[in-house]
Amino acid sequence: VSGVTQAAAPGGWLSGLPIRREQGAAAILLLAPTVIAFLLLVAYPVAYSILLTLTGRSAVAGALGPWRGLDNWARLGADPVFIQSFRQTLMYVVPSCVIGVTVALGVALVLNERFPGRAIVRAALLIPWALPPVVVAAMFQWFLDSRRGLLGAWLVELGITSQPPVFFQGVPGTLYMLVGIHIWKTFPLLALMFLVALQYLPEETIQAARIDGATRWRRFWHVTLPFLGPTIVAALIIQLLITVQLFDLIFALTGGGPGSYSTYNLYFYTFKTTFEFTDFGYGAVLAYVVTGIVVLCALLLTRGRARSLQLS
Amino acid sequence: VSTTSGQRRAAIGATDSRDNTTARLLAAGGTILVGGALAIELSQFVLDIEFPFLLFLALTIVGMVMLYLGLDGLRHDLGARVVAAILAVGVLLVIAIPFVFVVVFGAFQTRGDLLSGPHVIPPRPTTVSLDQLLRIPYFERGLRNSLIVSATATLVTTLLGILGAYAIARLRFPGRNAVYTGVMVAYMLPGIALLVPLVAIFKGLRLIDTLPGMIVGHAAIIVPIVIWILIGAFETIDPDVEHAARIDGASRLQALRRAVLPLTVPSVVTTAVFAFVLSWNDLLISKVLYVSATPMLAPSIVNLMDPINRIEPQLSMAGLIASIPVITLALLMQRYLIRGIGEGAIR
Repeated sequence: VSGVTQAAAPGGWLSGLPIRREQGAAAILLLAPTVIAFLLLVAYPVAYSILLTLTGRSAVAGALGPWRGLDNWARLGADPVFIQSFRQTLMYVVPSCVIGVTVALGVALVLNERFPGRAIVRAALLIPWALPPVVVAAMFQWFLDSRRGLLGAWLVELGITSQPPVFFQGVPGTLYMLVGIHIWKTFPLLALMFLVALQYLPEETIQAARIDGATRWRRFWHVTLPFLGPTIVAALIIQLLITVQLFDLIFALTGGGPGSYSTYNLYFYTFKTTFEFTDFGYGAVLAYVVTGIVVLCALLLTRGRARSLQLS
Repeated sequence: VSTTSGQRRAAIGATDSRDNTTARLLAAGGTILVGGALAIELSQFVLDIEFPFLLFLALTIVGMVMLYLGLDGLRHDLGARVVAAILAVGVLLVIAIPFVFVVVFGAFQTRGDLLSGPHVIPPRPTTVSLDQLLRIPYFERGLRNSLIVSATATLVTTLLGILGAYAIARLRFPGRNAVYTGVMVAYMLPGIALLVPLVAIFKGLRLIDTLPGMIVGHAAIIVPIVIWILIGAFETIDPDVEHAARIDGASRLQALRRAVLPLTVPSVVTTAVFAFVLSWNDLLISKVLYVSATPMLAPSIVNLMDPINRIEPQLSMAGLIASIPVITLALLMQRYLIRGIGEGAIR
């Protein structure tokens, strides 16, 4: 009898322990690599960056400099580049969210209809998502360049315009060109989110509305749109999170120019301050501002998601 | 049930039979407008005629509205489907034209040939830019290093992710909430917030300008994301699967490997693909953890983009090479990736 019970007991080195102890011991063993990595690579750096914010420039880049107290934090309010970068962050975020989410919703509604070849278009949506941002930057640099760009040359070649058109130049223009390219890169992700959500749209509700004689527009406005409400909020916040952290396109296409700081956002300003002007103290302060914005929005997203899950 | 479907059919039938002639006329008119406008626009590639683009646009839009109204009147939903198909072609063109013409065709053509017009079949394809590109030392090194770093980072993060996520999702232990919150915060943390102190620390440890440092840097940013996604995956598996394996005498690791992992293969592979894409596409980490040179792929492409010295076909070829792994993986895994995106796990 005892042989049978032994054979049926859970195996492993820890199986001699009582269940609760066993779980704890297993957790320690399984989590050890992750927790060590986490402490070394996340917790320690984050704690270190608090120290960085309290110190000035050091002779050796990255080492802790002389103690400065809260001076770095006090610099924020009086720093015109910070204020400009903050404003421009909004100039990136607002159109990216509004236009990006609207376009994505439209594309999802189109791809939700049944027609041959729809799977191909749906797969194609993954291409902009997967492309490395630097490749997207290089591609559009050549495509849209006002002097030697492909699109301009083609439009002239095809007789659509006589002169190569000038796409987005100058001070707000370049920023909006970046916004446009960013939307090209991100709308497919949001469209796929909407497409997946639309698959859960209850068919009966739509059928019922149809029998009641509701037009397509009214069905969209009164059934589909309210159903997609939580997804729209999630898409807006995700787009906001992605756009606040926009870096690659700015770095590769404009380097922050033209003129003084005209395409900076907070993220890029943090990068410049820390790694090009090697002011790690102030850079860490800026990084905390970015983190504050991002974590706040991300928490909104998880709260919203939890609520929408409760509803469904 | 049969009454309802009967009523439904009757109601749909009623909309079908209204005004058949008008519907037919509208549909025919719409087809002629859209088809005609497209034909004229496309004939510009061949013939030497000039047709204002705005007129083409206006004709297409009016034609599509007519087509929609007409076809929807003839057969329920037909108009919406046809118009959706036409619009989908537009979406496909917006996505594909820059990529196919600039990156793919651009890589195999000379600058002059490409500028001479959008050719559906590229004239005189050549691989000369590939030869030139591979002779640029920093590009060749960048490609090799990116392959090493991304493959290693994917392997390490997936492995750590499986162990960590399993422990958090399945085991009850003191401090579980703290670990959970820590992972969540790390998952949300913007890359730059971690990189500012990480670079400072790496400088002290002399890990700057080294490949191991690069791998560790990539892993530091990606591990929390992998754990976060996999926690969700493990939570969907019925604990009884594991209990059964444990009762049969399997150790916890054996149960994880033989009973739980096989059920989560799609999630694990999708997460690994996502980790690879994040690492491969990264510019920021690769830029700041190497100061003295540009040893990774993404920064070397930025080097090639120099506005004065850039040689466009080489740039396209570099872009094509950098796109091949991620596009291939994305298309192979599309079903699972789309599901992950729908759940909001993958961005």
